[in-house]
Amino acid sequence: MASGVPQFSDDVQREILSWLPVKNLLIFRSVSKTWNSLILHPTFVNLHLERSPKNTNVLITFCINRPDIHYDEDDDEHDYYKDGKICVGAVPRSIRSLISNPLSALNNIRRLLWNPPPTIYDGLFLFNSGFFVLGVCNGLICLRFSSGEGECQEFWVRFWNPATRIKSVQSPRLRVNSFKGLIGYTMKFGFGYDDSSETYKVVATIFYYKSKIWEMWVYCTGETCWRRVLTGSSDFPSFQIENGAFANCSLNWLALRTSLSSDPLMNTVTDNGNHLVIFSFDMKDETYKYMSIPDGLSEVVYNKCYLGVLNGCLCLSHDHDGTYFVLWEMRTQNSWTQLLKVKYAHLQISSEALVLCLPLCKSKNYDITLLTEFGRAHFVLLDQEDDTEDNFESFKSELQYYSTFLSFDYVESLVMPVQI
Amino acid sequence: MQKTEGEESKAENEEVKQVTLMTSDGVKMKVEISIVYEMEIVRSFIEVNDADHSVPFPLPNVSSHTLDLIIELVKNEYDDEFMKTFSHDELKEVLVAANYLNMKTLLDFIATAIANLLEKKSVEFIRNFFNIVNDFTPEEEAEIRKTNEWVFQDLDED
Repeated sequence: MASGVPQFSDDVQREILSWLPVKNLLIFRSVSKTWNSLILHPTFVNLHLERSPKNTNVLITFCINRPDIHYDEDDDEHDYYKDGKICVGAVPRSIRSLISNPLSALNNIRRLLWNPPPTIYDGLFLFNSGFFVLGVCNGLICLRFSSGEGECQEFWVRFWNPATRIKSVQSPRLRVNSFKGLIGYTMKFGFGYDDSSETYKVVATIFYYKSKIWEMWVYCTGETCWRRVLTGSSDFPSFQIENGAFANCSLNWLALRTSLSSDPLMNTVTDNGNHLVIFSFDMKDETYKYMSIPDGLSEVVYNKCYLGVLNGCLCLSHDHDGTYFVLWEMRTQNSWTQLLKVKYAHLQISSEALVLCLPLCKSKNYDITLLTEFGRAHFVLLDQEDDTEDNFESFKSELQYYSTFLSFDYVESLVMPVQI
Repeated sequence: MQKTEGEESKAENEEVKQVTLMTSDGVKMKVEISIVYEMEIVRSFIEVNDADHSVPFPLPNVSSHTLDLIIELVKNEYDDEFMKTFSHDELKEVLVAANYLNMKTLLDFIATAIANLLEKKSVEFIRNFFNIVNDFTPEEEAEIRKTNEWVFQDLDED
C-alpha cells in the first residue's frame, strides 16, 4: 500500500460501515477484533438502523395448512413443525421485488403449496406452529407462545432478528388465571418500540368476561417481569384481532365499543349498537385513547375490516357492500385518506366465498398495490397508474389449502434481540 | 446546513467571494466562498474570527490534489460519473479530508460510494483496503466465522 494513503480513524470506518447491508457486516466481523466489537456495538447498531432505507421491505408471514407436508427430521437449524399439518413462517422481501414480479418474489412460499411439497426452503424461515408473530419493529420480530389449559395459562415471547438470525431467550411469563372449565377471558397482544426509553415493549390486554375487569400489562426488554400498567372495571372494547398495529409510537387495535351517546367519536354504529373505533396505546406514556375510523363507515362489518401498517402509516382495509375493496391510510392524526376503492369483480375476486381482502404492500407513490385474499393463496397486483380495464395481475395457487398471509413493515437491522 | 437570516445577508454582502486555502503541499488555492461554506471547520473559523480572507487558511491534512477533487465534486453537485473516475486511493483521501473538513454531504456521498464498492468483497480484500492487521488467532477467526457460517456465500473473487 502506498505510504501516502491515509489511515482511517474509527469514526471514518463507522461512516463507511453504516451504509453496508447487514449480511456484509456479519462477514466483516471477522476482519479484526476491533471491527467485530464495532459492528456489534449498540451505538453503531443505532447509526446503521438510522441509515437503513425505510419502507423498502416488508416481512410476509404465512400460515399454510398442509395435511401432507413433512419436514426433514434431521434438520435442526429451524424449528420446523414436525407432525406435518400447519406450516408457519416468515419471509422478508423488498417491496420492489414484490410489485415488479410477485410470482418470483413469492416463489418460495408458493413452493410450499406445490404438490409434492419441497424439502428445501431457501430464504424462508419456518417456525413451530406454536409461534405467533405479534409484530415486527426495527427488524426485530416478536414471537408469542403460550402454554397451559383450564385454570391457568402462561404467555411469553421471544425476539428474533431474521437478518442476523439471533434469537432471544424466553421472556418472563405472564400468568393468567381463568375460571374452571371455561375460558373466562380474552387476551390481545402488541409489540412496538418506545423511542424515549429506547426499549422494545410487548403489551398484553386481558379482559375477564364475568367480572368485566380489564388489565393492560407491559413487558420491556431488559426487565425481569411484566408490569400491570392499567386496569379498570368498566366495559372494555373488544379488540378485533390479536396483534396490534404499531405506528407513530403507538399500538392500535380495531375495537368494538359499547354505545355511549355523549361520546363525539361514536359516529359509527353497527347493527348491535356498538361502535367501531381504534384503541390506541401510547408506548411512551403507557396510556390509551380512542381514534375514529374514517367518517361514514357505518356500513362496515366488524369482521370484514383489517387494521394494518403500510409504509409506516396505519391503514384500514374493509369490504363495502360485498362489492368493493376499500383501503384508507392515516397520514396524520385522525385524518384518513382513501387510497383505493375497487370492485372485486374488476379484480376477478369472487366475492361469494371472500372473507377479507388485505394489502401486503404498496409502492412508494401509492400506484401499485399487492393484495391478498384472506384464507387463500391468492394474490392480486393492481396498478392504479394504468387506467385500462386490464390493470391487474392475479396469482392463484392451484391447491386450495387454507393459507393466510400478512405483512409487516420490515428493515434489515443489526438490532440485538438480547440485552448486551 | 442551516443558515440563519443574518448569515444569508452576510453572504450576500460579502465583498470577498473567495477564500484562500493553503494545502499540505504548500499550494495556495482560491476557493469560492459557497464551497468553503460546506467545510464546517473553515466556515466556523471564518465566522467566529471574521478573518481576513486574503490570509491563507491552512489545511495541513489536505493535499492540493485532494482539494481539487473535492472542489470538482461540489461544483458538479456530487456527480456519480465523475466520482467513478477516482482511484481507490483518491476515494480514501477525499473521505478522510471530508471528515477532517467536516463536510457532511460530501462525507455521506463518499462513504456511501465506498460502502457500495466494498459490498460483496471478501474479508481479505477489506483488510487490504483498510490496511487492517488481522489480530484474530486462526482459531478465533474460525470460531467467529462459524457463528455466521450462512453469510459466507456469493463473494467476489477479489
